[in-house]
Amino acid sequence: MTTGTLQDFAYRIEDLRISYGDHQVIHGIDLTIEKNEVTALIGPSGCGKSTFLKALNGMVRTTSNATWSGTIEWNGKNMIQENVDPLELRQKVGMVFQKPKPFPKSIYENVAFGPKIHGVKKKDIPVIVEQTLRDAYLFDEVKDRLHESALGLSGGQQQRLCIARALATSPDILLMDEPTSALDPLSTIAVEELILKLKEKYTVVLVTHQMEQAARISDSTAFFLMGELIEFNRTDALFQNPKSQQTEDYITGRFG
Amino acid sequence: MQRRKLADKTATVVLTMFAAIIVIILTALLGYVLSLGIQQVNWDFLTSKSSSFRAGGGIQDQLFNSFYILLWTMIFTIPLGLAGGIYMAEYAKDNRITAFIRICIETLASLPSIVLGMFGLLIFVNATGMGYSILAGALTLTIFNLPIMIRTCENALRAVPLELKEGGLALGYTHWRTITRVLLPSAFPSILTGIILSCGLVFGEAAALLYSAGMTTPKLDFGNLNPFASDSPLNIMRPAETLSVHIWKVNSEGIIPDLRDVADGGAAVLVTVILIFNISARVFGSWLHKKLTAK
Repeated sequence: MTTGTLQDFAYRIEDLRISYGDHQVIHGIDLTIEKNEVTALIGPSGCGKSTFLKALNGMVRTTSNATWSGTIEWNGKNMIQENVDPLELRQKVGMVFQKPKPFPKSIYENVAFGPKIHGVKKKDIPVIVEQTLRDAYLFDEVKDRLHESALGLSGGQQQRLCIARALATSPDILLMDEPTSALDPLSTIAVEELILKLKEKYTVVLVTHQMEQAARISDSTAFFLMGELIEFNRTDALFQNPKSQQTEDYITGRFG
Repeated sequence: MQRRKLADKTATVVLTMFAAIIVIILTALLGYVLSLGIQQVNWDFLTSKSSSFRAGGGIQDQLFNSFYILLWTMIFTIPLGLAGGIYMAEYAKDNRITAFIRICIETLASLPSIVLGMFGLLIFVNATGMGYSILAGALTLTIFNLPIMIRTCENALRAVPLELKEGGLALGYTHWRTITRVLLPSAFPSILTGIILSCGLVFGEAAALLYSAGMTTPKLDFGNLNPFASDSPLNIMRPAETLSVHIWKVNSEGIIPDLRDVADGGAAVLVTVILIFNISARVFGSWLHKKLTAK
C-alpha cells in the first residue's frame, strides 16, 4: 500500500471502524485511494462496501445513527476527529446512487440544484449546467428539452443526469454506489464509458457487485468480506493473481 | 384445485358486492338529499338572509360563515399540521416519547366531535372569555382537524423516495434545506390533496361548532369590511352559525313554516360543496402529480 503526501492520494484511511448501535459492520480498514483513478470496491452483499463508501462523504453519520472511529484523511484533515464542514465536504465529494432518482424538477433545475447552495453566481449557472451536461455526455440528447421534467428521461439518461448533478458542484471525487445495477445493458455501457472518461478529471470510488465491471473499468480493486478488507491491489493483479484464498474463491464464483 | 378456484371466485363476487353496496348507498343518499333539496336552491336562496319566523328565508350568512370558519381553521391547521408532520417524519426518534406522541395523535383523532365542542366551550369560549365566536370555532375545528393533517403530512413525506432525500444531502444541503427544497416539493401533491379533503370534513362539521362558534349570527352588513366592527362579516370575534349547524337547528327547534324546505335546500348545498371539495382534491392532485412527474 502506498502512503504519500497530500498531493498523492484522495483518501488515506486507517483503522476505520463503523458500528450501527452494538452491531459493528466495518472492522478496522486501512486503505489509500489514489487520485484520478477508478477504485472499485467489490464483495458479497452485506460485506460493508456501501457503508464504507457512505463514510467517505460522511453520509453514514447523517442518515443513520452509526458511530465511527479511526482515520479518514481527506484534504489534509481527519474527518472523524476534526470538524469538516459537510457543505464543503459534499461540494468536493459528489455521490451517485444505485437507483437513478432525479428530483421531480426540470433537467436544468436538477443540475443547477447543487451549485445554487454553493455560492455560485446566478449568471454563471447556465454555463455550469451546459458544461456539466457535456461532461456527462448527456447534453446533445437533452439540449432541446432542458426545461422539461427529468422524469421523462430513460433510466440510463436519468443516471447520467444524476452523475451530472453530482459533477455540477465541481467535486474532485465521485462516489458511486452500484450506479449501473438498475440499468439495462446498453445504458450500463454508456455509464461505464462515462466513468472511464471521468477519471481524467476526477477520482472515482465505485461500489459494484459485478466483478466484470470492476475488471473492465477500475485501476485498483478492494475486496471486502464481512466488514474487513481482504485484499487490495491493482485490478489486473487482483483478478489474475489473487493473493488470498477468499478473494480467489469469490472472483471465481465459488460464493457470493 | 377446484376448491381453491371456487374460493377465489366467491371472494371476488362477495367483495364486488360489498363495493357495489357502498356505491349504491352513497348514490341513494346523494340522490335523496339532492332531489329533495335542489328545487329549493336558487340564487335568491343562496343570497338572502335566513328568517326566524316567516317563510322564504335563505342561507347567505350561514354559507359565508361556513367558508369563513373553514378559512381560519386552515390558517391555523396547515402550519401546525405541516410542522407536526415534518417532526414526526423527519425528526422524531424511534423511542417511547415518539410512541407516546403517536398515541396522543391517534386518540385525538378518535375523540367524538361533540366532546371537542365541549372542550372548546370550556377553554376557548369560557376560560379565555372570548365567547361564542368564529375564532373559538376555528380553534376547536383546528383540534378536530389537526391529527388528520399531521398524519397526512407525515405520510406524504414518508412516501418520498429515500433516494431523493439522500440526493439532497449528498449535494451538501442541510437536513432542513433538504426538507424544504426536496421533500416538501415532492410531497406537495399528496399534502394538497389531504388539505382539500379535510376542507370537506371541516366544512360539514356541526357538533364541534354548536358550543364554540355558537348557533346565532348577528345582523351582518356585507358592505362593512372593517374586521373589528361588530356587524362586519370579517369580524372573528362574533358568533357565527354555520350551514350545517343551521340545518340541525332549523330541523330540531325551527319555527318557520317552511323549515323542511330550508333544511332540504341547506343540506343540498352542503353536500354539493363537500362533493366539490372531494372531486377537486382528486382531480387537482392527479393533475399536479402528472405535472410534476411528466408521465
